[in-house]
Amino acid sequence: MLAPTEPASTEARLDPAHAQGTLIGKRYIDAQDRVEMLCTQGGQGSLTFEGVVMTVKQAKALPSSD
Amino acid sequence: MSCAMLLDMAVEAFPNRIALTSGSASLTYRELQTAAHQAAERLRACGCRHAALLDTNSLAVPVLLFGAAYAGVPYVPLSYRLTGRELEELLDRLVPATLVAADEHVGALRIPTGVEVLDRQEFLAAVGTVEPIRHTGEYLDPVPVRAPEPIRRSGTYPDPDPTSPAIQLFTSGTTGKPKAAVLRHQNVLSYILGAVEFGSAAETEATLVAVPPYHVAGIAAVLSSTYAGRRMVMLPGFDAAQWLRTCAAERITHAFMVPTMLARIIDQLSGAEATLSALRAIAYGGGRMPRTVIERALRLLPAVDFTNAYGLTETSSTICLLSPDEHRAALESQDPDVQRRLGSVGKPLPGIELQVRDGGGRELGPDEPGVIFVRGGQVAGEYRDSGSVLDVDGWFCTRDFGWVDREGYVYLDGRADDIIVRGGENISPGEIETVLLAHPAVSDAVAAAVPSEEWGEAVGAAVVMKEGRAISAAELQQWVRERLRSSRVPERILFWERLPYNEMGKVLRCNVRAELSAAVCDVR
Repeated sequence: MLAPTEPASTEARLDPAHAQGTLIGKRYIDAQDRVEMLCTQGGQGSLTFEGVVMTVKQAKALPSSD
Repeated sequence: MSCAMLLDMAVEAFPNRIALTSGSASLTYRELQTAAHQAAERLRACGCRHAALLDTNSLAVPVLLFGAAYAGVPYVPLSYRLTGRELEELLDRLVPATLVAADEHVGALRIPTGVEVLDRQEFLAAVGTVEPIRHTGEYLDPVPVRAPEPIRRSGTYPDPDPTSPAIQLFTSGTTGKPKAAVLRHQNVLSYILGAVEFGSAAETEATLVAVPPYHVAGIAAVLSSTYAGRRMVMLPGFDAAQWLRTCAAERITHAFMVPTMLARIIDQLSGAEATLSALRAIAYGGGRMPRTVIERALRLLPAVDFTNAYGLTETSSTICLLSPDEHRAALESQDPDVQRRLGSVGKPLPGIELQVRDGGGRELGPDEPGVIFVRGGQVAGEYRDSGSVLDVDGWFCTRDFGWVDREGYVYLDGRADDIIVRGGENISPGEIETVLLAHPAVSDAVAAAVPSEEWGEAVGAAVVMKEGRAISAAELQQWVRERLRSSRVPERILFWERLPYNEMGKVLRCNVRAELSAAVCDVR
């Protein structure tokens, strides 16, 4: 709680536990493979699902077919 | 979420990388996005419902494809090989539309009311990409185009509904009147996101786009190159010598081609392999690849990775592929089962389920031939006039005939529509053609059904002789009789100068069948 006269901090800080970064174009999954997300814009924070940091899904690289 | 997301991501990750080259002009990903935004403004302002294209490959192709996605209207590339009358009929079905076209394709057409025609140069000027900047001296080090200041500031581009139509393609119509296949954004994205790793291309990689823009492979080339971050080099038409020159000049690393194109390149290649020193990968598809052609290509270009890609318009491009390693293994193996795989289209992509079914819809086991069905997010299976043709469980009938071997490799054996039904027996024209082609005097052959009073349908064949060779119909019939069951022997054989092919190298069976049938009826 802030006192009414106290200025609110405008600076949000990244929790170090959630600062592994998220990379554009990578797919992220939870440990049980229930949720899959595609990162379309990268950033410093981590993605979590139910409080657990999601990991990069390693997909088998396919040869270019176009 | 729409196809435009693929470009947005490329701009986010590598805005200043060269996205595409056409002739002496190039655009970076950011410039391509700016141009596509401008195109979207233009499409929105005119209130069109379709963004049509009647042109060869140029900068305008990716600009209009992505512009249409930003504007939320389907992109409709039309074939410039169609007759004026056929094109006019298609345009009537697209009103209201904006049509980007080259003069030579649109000049003589009756343009229906409600179709706004933009000349390609006019369109490129309107989106701010017109003046091509010359490559200064060194061709291999392209100088990016500096686009003029945008005419308008880009507005916002609400993301189209992923279930809205992204692309409408008139299927080639080797079996009849063209049908308008609809691909929704979710279908196309499902293919690209499933098959291509984002940003996987090195900045030095370049792909040569030589398939026409109205073919599904031409669309897949634009979308997958953008997502991979691989520079596209647009070739307006295919000519083997031109293709080889561009390969050398642009240090092309990747290419897609139909079997006819590969055959012509191989013929031109002898001694010129050095011009392809940068080339690392060739993907091919769109028709049956003759074994002799792929074997020669593998031996001539041992450093190149060959991938066979099988797909249909209705499945948003590739659904099965045979990998480079599988090609090499088949070429080197002594095991006939492994050797045979050079004639296979490989295995389904991870996002695709595949089944072979008999005429009654029963799923068949390994090595049993039937009709191929597929299911998956990229499978659209939808036409504008008839709606979805997927069954209740989401399966799409490809109408391709084939089987899956015990190892899971898929083999194709012609179109189900081409099957000859002789007295209740199903005969694949493919097996008869293989035998005819094996005759030393035969250079090309097609088998098709002809009407028969006795059998309902019987086998007919059109054959092209090698130059300077002659053989009688009776001798060829004897040749087939010695190798196949008697029901496979063509009752009627015609000798032609050449077979009718469309520009994608597919033989027009419809035409062959009609002429063979007419010939049979004349005899009576």
